Amino acid sequence: MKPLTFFLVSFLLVLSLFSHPDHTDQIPHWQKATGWPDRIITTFSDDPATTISVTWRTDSSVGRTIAEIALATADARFDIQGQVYRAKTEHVDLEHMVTEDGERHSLYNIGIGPVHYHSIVFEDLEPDTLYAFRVQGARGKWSEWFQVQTAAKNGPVQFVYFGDSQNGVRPNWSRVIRMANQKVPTANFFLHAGDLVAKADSDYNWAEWFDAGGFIHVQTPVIPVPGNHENMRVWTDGPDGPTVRSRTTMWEPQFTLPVEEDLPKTLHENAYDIRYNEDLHVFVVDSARFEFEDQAKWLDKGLSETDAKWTVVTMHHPFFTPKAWDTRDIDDVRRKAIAPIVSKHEVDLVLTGHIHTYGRSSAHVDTEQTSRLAEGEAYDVKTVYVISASGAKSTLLSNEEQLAAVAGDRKPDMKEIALERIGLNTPMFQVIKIDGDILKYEARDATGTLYDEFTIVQDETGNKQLTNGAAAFGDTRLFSNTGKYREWWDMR
Amino acid sequence: MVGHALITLFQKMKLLLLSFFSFLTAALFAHDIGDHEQPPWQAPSQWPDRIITTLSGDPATEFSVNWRTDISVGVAIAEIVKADPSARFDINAITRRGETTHLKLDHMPGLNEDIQIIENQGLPPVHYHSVTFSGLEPDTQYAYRVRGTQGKWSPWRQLKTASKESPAKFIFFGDAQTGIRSHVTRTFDAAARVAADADFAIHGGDLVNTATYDKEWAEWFAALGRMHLVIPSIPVAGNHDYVNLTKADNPSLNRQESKLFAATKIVTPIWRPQFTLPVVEELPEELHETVYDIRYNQDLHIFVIDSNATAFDQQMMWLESELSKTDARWKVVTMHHPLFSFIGGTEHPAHKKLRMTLLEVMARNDIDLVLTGHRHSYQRGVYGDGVARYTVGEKHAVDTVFLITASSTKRGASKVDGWERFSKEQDGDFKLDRHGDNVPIFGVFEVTQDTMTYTAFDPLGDEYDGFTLSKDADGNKTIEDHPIALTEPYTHENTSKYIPWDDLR
Repeated sequence: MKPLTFFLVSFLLVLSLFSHPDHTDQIPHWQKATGWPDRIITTFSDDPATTISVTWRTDSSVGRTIAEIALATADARFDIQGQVYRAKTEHVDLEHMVTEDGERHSLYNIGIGPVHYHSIVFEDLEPDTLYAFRVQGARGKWSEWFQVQTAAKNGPVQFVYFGDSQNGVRPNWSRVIRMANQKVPTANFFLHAGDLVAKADSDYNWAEWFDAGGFIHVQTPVIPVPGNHENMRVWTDGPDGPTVRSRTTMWEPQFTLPVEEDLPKTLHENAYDIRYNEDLHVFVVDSARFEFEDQAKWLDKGLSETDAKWTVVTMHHPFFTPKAWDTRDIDDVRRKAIAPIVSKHEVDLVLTGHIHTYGRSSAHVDTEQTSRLAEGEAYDVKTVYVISASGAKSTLLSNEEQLAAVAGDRKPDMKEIALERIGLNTPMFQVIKIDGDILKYEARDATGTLYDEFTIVQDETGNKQLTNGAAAFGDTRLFSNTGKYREWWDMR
Repeated sequence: MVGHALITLFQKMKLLLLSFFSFLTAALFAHDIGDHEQPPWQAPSQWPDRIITTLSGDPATEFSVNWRTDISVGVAIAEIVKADPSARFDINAITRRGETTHLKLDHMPGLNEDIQIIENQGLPPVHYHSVTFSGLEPDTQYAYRVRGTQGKWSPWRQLKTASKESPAKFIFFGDAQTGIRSHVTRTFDAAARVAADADFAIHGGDLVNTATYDKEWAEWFAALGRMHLVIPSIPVAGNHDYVNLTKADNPSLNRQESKLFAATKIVTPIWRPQFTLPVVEELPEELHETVYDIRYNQDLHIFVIDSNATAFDQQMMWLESELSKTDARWKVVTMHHPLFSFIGGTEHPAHKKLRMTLLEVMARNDIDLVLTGHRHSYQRGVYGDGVARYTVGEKHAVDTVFLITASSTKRGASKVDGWERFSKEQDGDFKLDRHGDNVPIFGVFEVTQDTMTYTAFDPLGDEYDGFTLSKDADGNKTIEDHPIALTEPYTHENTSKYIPWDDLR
């Protein structure tokens, strides 16, 4: 090589390196994509009894990769029987994001190159069986083996439901999900009711969410629900043009979820249902988008057709919000579209978030029933509505009227609804156990202590009786009698 | 002239630029290569990693945390607060400072001179940090976190101090050693599920295969991090946690014996920086933090022995003196090498020597349990006056229960039919109750004042073995096997194919 050629080659090489500034020093190792698989997560995209869906991430050097599955035996080398499948790979640009509605240059992700998301659906599995699987990044760079149990066609089901994680996700929320996993290590799935992160397009925020959950996101399948914080502002017509809210382009690549063909494309993998087993059917409504008529029709059809004994509707926004916020038209539109479907089908549980507080209310059969009954006394109930939060953000509410509004105490258009239990300044997780005719519900705080509980017994005609447990009558946690609160800005 | 000078200057500049750019590209590439050699779960950074809690003093009022960073972090800073359910429980956290140890990974400190560590070639030095939280309240949940460089914190983790009273629950793991990240994780996962409320875990030695290999320690920490319950660890040093500096002088010794009696060997120089453990001052310095005891609560006392034949007689003297002083109801001894065990037809003289010495101590003292590893198979038996006359499952009096197990992919073959030899040798005072091959097994112990209930599990979380030990007011013990102990044992014949672990990464 002549000196001048060498000079030019060196120059160009260095130039090319400088033009893509290397931010690797600033990106934490728990955020940065490499040739190794990370952000691994197990979800349902099909029948939970016979399929396991797994999604993971690598840097963009990994073009094609594989995953492996084996029946989990106790044997030391169970993995010898492993079967290898090719993964689906998706290229995701984190800086320039394009949605159906417009585009966005994400300021949070400057200097972060594109990444690859990979996914696999393991099919034709045996129900109620423990499988071991692992996923690969670049050749030879494997994850550890994870063990996941397929759903049993019938029998008891247990799951954990979390409200918004959103703020202080890695530092503080991690203790909540770990405590949940410690209290219910054999849960069949974990449900996250929206606002998983604060900034929908921030790769750092999603890194926090994945790092906080870690292996828990893999060994217990996840049902993610999109919230308003999973939306980002996009420009519909150039940088000076108008903007709208659109779902983050990170949602679809990082979760492998069911596609409801009846719904508009914008709702694919955002609104869906999971028939977990004979007894339990979960419907996920995307309350942070606007296609409520489509979703109401789809939900009505799904609830009419299902023969599951227990139905759960989950969506990020509750039907009832504190008065100060209640004037927003969109809340009315949503409530008017979805709430009547829930009432009509007497859905058993409606699990929501958004308010950053805890509130549980019942839709009574007896609309004159105003006060909570004593421990051990049962009343007829149609639906139980829950608002919860698991992250560090807590809405400062003290006004009695607001407290009541949170849980929808006797709204003019839904008079049968009465508040049962509230809790402020307390991240919570809820454990729901279904066994035949009985549904048991617990809300626990981050130290694992029981805060709220009830049992519903459903008879053969579908009539339900609710009995509050002892914890439902404990002292109410308010800002005045709990630890000091500070907004989350200082948290790392 | 001016033109000529300019040309010369340009030529000089060109050379200068050339060398500059070549250097720069080379430097960038070198950085690139170094970056790619270590997996993200191994490489140190400014963020804390390899975080582990240990018991360094009274478990009711103190615990220690160790972590690692790159060498840019010069101070050990941690925070602790009572785990309040409030959203911002962390506001009242207090800061604790600790110690930082600089450790070169490619040249580790030996006895007199540094040892070159080939397997860590090219790895930068690291900093290990430790903080001891003391003055805590018993039976109380705390939240703590540790720091790397400013603003780079671990997530908050919650840990409960010991209650002064029973019950206590703990997990015993045998050798992790091989297939640690890929396979042993599922054993840890299973333990975390079936014993989610355990108070601590004992790791019975051979935590890794090559004591000094940073990548294997990275695997061990990656696997251990999977236990969602952040419980303190009690690590035991095994032969694979030791570095042999010189061979034994005696040429008549075989390879195994030569290792066991190596003229000079030291516990891996990674051991002390990464675990904060009790120091027994009266023992020689080389046994500090590998021989220690933990009085967990009123009823349970744990003694950790370093069975790597280092000053074993001194250890036994210490053990006997401690045993005579303790008023705990239950006394557990854990060490890496088993009390009774052999592969094939013979027992190494070295192991026999350890056994005879410990048996003498046991004869004079009351030891309820001896927890060991090393054999890569599962063996559980009893020791006591004429116990051989009882059939398995029969309730009978007993002195000591011993256990051998492993979590690793590496599997030995336990010789099932040779065990009566020990019984003969011990005048019928020995009996094997349960064994199993080709399956990683871990044990869970629940200890109350009068009973010790044991359940063993496989990596699926299914039960494999169990017994209940009961102790009356006079200290007399009886053992009753659980029905699971009588089911068909795992053997190499009735389980799936086994291949060694060399193909694992």
